[in-house]
Amino acid sequence: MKIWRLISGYVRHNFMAGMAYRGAFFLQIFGMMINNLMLLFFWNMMFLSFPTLNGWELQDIIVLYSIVAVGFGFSVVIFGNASRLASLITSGELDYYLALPADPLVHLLVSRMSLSGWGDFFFGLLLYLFVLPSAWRNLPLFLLLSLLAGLISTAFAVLTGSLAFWLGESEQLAAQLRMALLNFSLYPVDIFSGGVRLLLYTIIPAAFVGSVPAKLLTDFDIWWLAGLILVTALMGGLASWVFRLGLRRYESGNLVTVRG
Amino acid sequence: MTIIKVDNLTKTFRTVQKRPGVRGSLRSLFKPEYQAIHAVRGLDFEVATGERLAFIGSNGAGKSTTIKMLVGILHPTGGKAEVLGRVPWRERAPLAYQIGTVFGQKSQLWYHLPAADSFELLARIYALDLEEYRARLHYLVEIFDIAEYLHVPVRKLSLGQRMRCEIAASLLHSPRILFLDEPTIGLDVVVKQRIRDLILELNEREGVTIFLTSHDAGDVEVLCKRAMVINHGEIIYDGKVSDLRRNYLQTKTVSLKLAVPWEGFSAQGVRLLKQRGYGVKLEVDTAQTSIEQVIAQLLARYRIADITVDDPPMEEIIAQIYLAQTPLSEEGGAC
Repeated sequence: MKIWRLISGYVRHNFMAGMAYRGAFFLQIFGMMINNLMLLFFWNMMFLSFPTLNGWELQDIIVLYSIVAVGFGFSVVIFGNASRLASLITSGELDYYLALPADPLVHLLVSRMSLSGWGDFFFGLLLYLFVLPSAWRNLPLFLLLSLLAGLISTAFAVLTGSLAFWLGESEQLAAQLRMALLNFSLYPVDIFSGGVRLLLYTIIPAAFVGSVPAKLLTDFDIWWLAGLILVTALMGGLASWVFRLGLRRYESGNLVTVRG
Repeated sequence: MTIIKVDNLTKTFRTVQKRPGVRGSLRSLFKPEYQAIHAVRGLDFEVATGERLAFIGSNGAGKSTTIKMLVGILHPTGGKAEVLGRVPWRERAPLAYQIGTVFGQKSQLWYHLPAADSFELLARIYALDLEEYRARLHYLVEIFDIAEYLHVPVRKLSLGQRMRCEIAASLLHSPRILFLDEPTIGLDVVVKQRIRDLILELNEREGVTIFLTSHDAGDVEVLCKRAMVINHGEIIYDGKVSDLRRNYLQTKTVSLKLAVPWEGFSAQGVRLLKQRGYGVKLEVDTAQTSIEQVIAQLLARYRIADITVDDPPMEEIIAQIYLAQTPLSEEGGAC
C-alpha cells in the first residue's frame, strides 16, 4: 500500500516536472514516435521483397514492435532511473535513497521518468490498435504481455547497472547490454540459431521481451504464458537480490548534486 | 540517555591504484594493485539525547564517512554502532523514520518543482498521515518563515532560502536525531546566523539531538556544547566547546580597508599580520582584549571603508589541537 502511494506520487511529480518544460516534453514524445516509424518503414520495405521470414510475416513483426514499444515505453516511463543506475552508484547518488525509509530500489527506479518513453508507449499502442485486426478484443492480453516485457527489461537494466557495485565505472557496459537487449528483442528469435539463440533466452533475455510475448498474442498458449510470468518473477527476484548484495559494497561519494 | 553508541567503528575503502599512462592503465586492468584507504580508524563515542554535538575535521578526515555509517548508507569494515537502539546498516529503513539528514551539498528537493511539491512527496515516502502532515507543515513553514517561497520552483530560490527549505524538509517526519553535514556551506554571514538560530530553536523546542559537521568554526561555537575533532579517521579531541574556545578559538582576525593611510596601531593582545597599501590584517587575542574595544579604538583613529571579523580557519584549529595532542598520544594518554 505504502509502495503504491510512493509510486503514484512519483508518477505525478515526474509528470509535473516534465510539464514544467512543455515544449521539450512534446518534442521528445513526437521525436521518439517518428524514430520508431522509420524503423518500421524499413521492415515494410523488406517484406515487399520477401513475404515471410522463417515463418514471420509483416503482421507478426508489427505485433512484436507494438509489444516491445509499449513494454519498453512503460519501463522507462515508470522506472526511468533504471538506465542511470550505474552512474548513480559510482557518483554516490544512492545516498539520497538510502537515507529515506522507502525501499531504495523501487524508490530510485520510480524517481525519474523518461519523457521519450511516452513516445514509445503511444506509438506501440496506436500501432497495435489501428493496424492490427481484432486488436480491441485482445487488448487486455496485449497490455499484460507488454507489462511483462517491460518488467523483464527493467530487471535486466537493474542487473546490468548493479555491475557498477563490483566493477566501478561501468556505465558504458551497462548501456551496451541494455541496447543489445532492446535491439535483439525487435528481431524474431527464429531467425537466429544455435549459440545466439541460446544467448537470447538466457544472458540477454531478448526473446522474453519480444518474440515470446508476440507469439503468445497471435498463438496463445497458457503454458508459455505461465513460463513468461515465471521468468519475469525470477528476473525481478534476481535483480533485487543482486542490488541488495551490491549495497554492502556501496562506497558513496561526495559529488555535489541537485535533484532534477 | 544514550542515543548514539559507537564502539571501535572502522571503515576501509579499497581502491585500485593506477599507474600513469596508457601502459599503466592496461596493467591495472589485468593486474590491479589495491590500496587500502583507512577513512575511519576505530572510533569510540557516545551521544546523549538532546545533545548538540559538533563533529569537526578537515576535508577527508572521515566526517562524512562516519555520518554515512550512522545513518546506514555505508556498511562499516569493523566495529559496532547503535543509533536509537538499532544497528544502522542492518535496520536502515526503520531507523530512517526516526532520523533526519541534511547534506549541505546534496539537495533533497526537486530542482524544477516548488518545495511544496517535494514536501508532499516526502510525506508519501515517510508514509505520514495526511492530517498530521498538514499540521506539521504549517508549523514548520511558520518557524522557518518559508511561506512566500513554498510555491516557487527550487531552482529560483537563493541558496539560503533553499537551505531553509531543505532543513524544513528533513523535519517533516519529526525525527529524534538530525544529522547535518555542512549545513551552512556557501551561505553568507547573515543567512548562516539565521540557519544556526533555527537549528538551536529546534533543539530547544523539540529536544532533537543535533549531530553536526562543519568547516565553520562559527557554527561550532554558536550551535554546539560539545565538539569532537576527527583527524585521519581518529578522534583527537572530545570535549566542551567552551574549552575548545578557551584553548584554540581565542584569536580572531580583523581585516580592514582603510580610507586613509596606515600609521600603525598598538594595543594589548593585537598583532599586525599583514599590511599592504590600505589593506590591513590584525590578529586579536580575545583573552586579553575584546573585539569591541579594538574596533572602537580603530574607528577612533582611522576612517575605515570596510571591516570584517573572522574566526581562525578550522584547519588551523585542528592543526593546533593535533600538535598539542601528538606528544601525549605517543605516551599513550591521548583521546
